[in-house]
Amino acid sequence: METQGNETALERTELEQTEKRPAQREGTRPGRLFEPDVDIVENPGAYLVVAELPGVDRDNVRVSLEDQVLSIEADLATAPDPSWQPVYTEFRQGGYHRQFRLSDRIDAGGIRASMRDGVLQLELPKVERARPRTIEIQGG
Amino acid sequence: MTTSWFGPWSSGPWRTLDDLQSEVDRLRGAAAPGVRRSAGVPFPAVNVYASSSGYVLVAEVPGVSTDDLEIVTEGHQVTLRGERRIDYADDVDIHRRERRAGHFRRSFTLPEDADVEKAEAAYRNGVLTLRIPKNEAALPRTIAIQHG
Repeated sequence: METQGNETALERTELEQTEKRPAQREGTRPGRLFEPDVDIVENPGAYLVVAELPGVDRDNVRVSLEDQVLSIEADLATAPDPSWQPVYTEFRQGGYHRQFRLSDRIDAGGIRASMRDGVLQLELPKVERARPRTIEIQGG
Repeated sequence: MTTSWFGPWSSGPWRTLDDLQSEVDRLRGAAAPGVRRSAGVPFPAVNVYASSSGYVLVAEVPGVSTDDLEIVTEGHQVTLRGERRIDYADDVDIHRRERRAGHFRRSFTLPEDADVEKAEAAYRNGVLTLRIPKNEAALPRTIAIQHG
């Protein structure tokens, strides 16, 4: 979704455009990485980022904010049993990685994260904006 | 539509699964524009494996509570059905909507040697794992030779 004007505080950092969206990885862990499906909604007080991370528990997800870039990175809690022979495959398994650029309207210190049933929910509170004020013109 | 998911296996030895798997309902709901991991994949996405003792069906159902998920078996067919609810308040602006919501129903028919009645299901971190053992008669066994 394209940003419109300056009202959209979240802007995706485009890392990868390919169909299977293997994401670039900065870390050193081996294995494939995928971009999770994400919803982003905004309410008057905060942005909500909801990412699907099936196979990941709360101990294996890392959220960081650096230079206004929000990073979500996760590893699978359990790897598939190597003795299983795939006979029908619709999805591939691996870790997850996705980044979004935040505007300066986010209160980075107030970000909250929760994890349930393989879904990560991040709440990004907005910074209180300075109220518009009238500046008096001094008479000369 | 049904066979397209089975392309690589359509002429392979896994004919039973190939022929019989069916998706009765596609997940209802608007498809978000853009490219995602789940693009072109039905919900829930399912992998099937053969193990030494039977079959393992793994379904990715993140965000679906077990209260909203039902597994029904009939003959050699296993059906997963349920609903994924994604509710946002009315006053929100939606900037990105990639997750899919709604009712789903998918059916898979397992090979004859699968003992579907003894299937066991576990749900963890948004992943459903269904283990279906083989019939006792289908498992390899050693036949002792009687002394004559």
